[in-house]
Amino acid sequence: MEIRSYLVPTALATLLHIIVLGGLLTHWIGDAEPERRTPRHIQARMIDLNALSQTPSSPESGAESETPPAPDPAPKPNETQQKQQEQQAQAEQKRREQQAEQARKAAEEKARQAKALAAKRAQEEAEKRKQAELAAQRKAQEEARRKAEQEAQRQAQAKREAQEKARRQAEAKAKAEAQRQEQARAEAQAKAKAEAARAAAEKRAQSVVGDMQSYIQTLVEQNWRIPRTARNGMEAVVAIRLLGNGEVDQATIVTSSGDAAFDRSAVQAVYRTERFERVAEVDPILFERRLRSIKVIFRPEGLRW
Amino acid sequence: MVKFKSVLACLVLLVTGSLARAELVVEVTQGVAEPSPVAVVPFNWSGTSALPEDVAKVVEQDLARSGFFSALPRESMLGFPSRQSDVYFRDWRVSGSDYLLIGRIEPLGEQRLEINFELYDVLKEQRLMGQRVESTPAQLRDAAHYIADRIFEELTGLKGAFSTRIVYVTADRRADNSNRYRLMLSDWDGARPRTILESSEPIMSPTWSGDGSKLAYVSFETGRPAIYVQYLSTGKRERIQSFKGLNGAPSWSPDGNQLALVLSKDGNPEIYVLDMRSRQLQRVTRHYGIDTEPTWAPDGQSLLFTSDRGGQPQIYRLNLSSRDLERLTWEGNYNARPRLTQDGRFLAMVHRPQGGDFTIAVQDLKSGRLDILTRAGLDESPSIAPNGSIIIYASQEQGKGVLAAVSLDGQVRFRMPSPGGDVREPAWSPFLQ
Amino acid sequence: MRALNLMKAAALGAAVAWVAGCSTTSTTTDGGAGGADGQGGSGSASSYGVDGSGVSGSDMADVNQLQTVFYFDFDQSVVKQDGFADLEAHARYLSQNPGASVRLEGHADERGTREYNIALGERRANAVERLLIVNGASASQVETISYGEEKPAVMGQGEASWAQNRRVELKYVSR
Repeated sequence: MEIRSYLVPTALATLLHIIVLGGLLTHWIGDAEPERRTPRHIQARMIDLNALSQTPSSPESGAESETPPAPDPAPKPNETQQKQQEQQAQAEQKRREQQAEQARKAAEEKARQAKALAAKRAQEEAEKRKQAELAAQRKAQEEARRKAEQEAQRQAQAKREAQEKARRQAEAKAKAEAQRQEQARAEAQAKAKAEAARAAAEKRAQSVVGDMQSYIQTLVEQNWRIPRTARNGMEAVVAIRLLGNGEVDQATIVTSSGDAAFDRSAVQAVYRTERFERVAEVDPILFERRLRSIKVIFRPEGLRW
Repeated sequence: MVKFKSVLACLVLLVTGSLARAELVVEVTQGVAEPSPVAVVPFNWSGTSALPEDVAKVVEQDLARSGFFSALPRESMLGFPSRQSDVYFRDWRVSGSDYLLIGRIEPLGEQRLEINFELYDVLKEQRLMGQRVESTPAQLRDAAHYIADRIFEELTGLKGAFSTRIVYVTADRRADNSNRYRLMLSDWDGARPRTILESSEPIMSPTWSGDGSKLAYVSFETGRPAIYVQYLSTGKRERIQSFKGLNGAPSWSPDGNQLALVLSKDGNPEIYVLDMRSRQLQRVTRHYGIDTEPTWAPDGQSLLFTSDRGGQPQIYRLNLSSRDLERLTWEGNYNARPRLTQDGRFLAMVHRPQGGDFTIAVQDLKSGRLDILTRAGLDESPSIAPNGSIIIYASQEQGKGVLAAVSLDGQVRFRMPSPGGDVREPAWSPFLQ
Repeated sequence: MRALNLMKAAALGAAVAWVAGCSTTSTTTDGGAGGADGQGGSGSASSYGVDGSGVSGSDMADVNQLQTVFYFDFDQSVVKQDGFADLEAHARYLSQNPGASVRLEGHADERGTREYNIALGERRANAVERLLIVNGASASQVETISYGEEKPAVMGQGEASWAQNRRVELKYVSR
């Protein structure tokens, strides 16, 4: 009877402890890393991004790179233009000088002009070829750069995404942590509140119960006829079940003194009392908790023997 | 949040659960030292001719004299039920009774009776026991003592001693100044006295054998003291060899094989142990003082006796195997005639406090505590009931010896009805078959 | 408590020694005290005989005039001095009439236990017996018996009755 009534609360208590302990453990273990990782991630993103954007435009790295065709022709177009202009000026001068002489040297001129035209054409042709080559090179270069850029962008994007994801996760974790702390705080608060309420109730109950204790003791002592067989040191425990109006419902020996008359006298003291009137004044919940079932220890003192 | 709530609920449950379990415990150390009131209703008799004994009255007196119970007077009874169906516990409760005994006696053919009795716990409103007893009109008193024994045992856990007997000595001084001494046997309460020995010379120190079948006593019938053994069933007597000087204070060993006695054949009173089968005599004390009144410890291992070796009579214990001697009494200047309870714990004796009268006292050998139980002035010859509840002793009333009894705790005292003459030296029998 | 009793025992021992000493050295006055101690009395036989010579006359008529009841104090077995002269006369008669014999009946008052009082009565009878013997009577002429408190001389309570019951009665069985 006694053991069984303790079983459920005990099991519940154990279960609760396991749940609370388990929860706390998992939270603490999961939180340990992200908290420290979060700032490092933000920094890392900055560094990586700069590094990525500089790498492709470095001239040294391009000059030294194993793909020379693109960078080599790039500076040439500027030199050729300059040269061309000079050549044109020279040709102009020559023509003016030659005009004076043209009279004299028309044929010669014609030949030379043709020759120059041809040269010019050839030159232009070369130039055109060069230009086309250059354009192709530039295009290829551009294509490569674009591709590199795209790749970098993609990588950066991926990185950003990863970082964003990490950040979000960290944020979520931080949020969860905050929430958990908030919850723990609330729990603790509620617990403290409940505890305080319980303590207060307990204190109130205790004074009522203490009062009842001495009241019951007085009544039972008035009604206990100590038998002749009683000896100092004897002890019997009687379990009493009371009704709400204070009436004795049942009284039974739960611990025998070993002396039949002594045990009987103890039970009779309770039945002779018949009713503990003032118990009826006690708050029903408190009665239920503390007074419905009570125990009386009969332990005579000051007997002759 | 749900989880949080359930946790809280769990907590509340636990807290209240523990509250509910914190059972109130009340400790009671004081009470009232009063006997339990018992109502013994007159037994209903369905026969025609009157019965020779009021069975209920005998039962009631037995219980009341034990000191454990007090009787509800018949005039306070609201009715005389004889069957359970007629019992209204409320009425008996109001009368202050803790227990109720009812019974009925019915004729059972020629000279036979049937007694049915029932015992109730009035407070618990519960039947405790009931029994059917067959008897004859002549044995009604025995039946009553038997019923009292059953009830006593049921209620106290102690074996009842109401079916036991006592012997005692009476002395009458006749007109011609001669004396008449009688050895008497009666019920424990003094009823039904019978003379089992009569003499013109003193009779002293009757004592029961452990099985209750025989007595030993001192008779001066030959002009000198001698110890006799008398069988109760046949009346047959046997004189133990007597010696010059004292032959006195016989005491049977618990197994009945030995008789401790006092002889002064060697000059002054010493205690001897006589083997009843081999008739060998062994001297166990050796002192020029008076050593007398031996009594056996219940285990048969030691003798208690009175000795004035310390200057005044005090009680000593002699271990028979180790011969260790121990003085037991230290209070008062006269402690004599020891008798032990069957558990060996309590020592009843004649005690005289410094400058006081002779009283009956009991000493707790466990604690050494001594309590004076009587104050009559010339009390002597304490003899303890076999269940240790009552001490019967000789007292004086208006210059005449009477028998009285006191509970071992001194709470209840009463005078025994006794026949004429000077009454002395009661000896309580063991439990009888 | 024990120390006190040791002291008491010591005091008693001293008293016994003193009594024994007296019975051997003194003459008539303390002779009866020897009765308290069996050993003390026997050695003083001759001295009592010498002292007793002062009294004359030992015929029956004289004996009939003698005191035959001797009284004692409570719980004591010392013959009182006022009985000495008559006891010596009884002893003389017995020694001069070897055919005569006496019976000494010891008694006690009702106080105290019966068996203890029987022993006390015997002590008193023995004390008187020794006085007779040391004064010339033969041991075979004296028998003792104790009735303790069983045969009081006087009924009733109080010191007046009790004093008369604490006694030894000397009875001639034959003259």
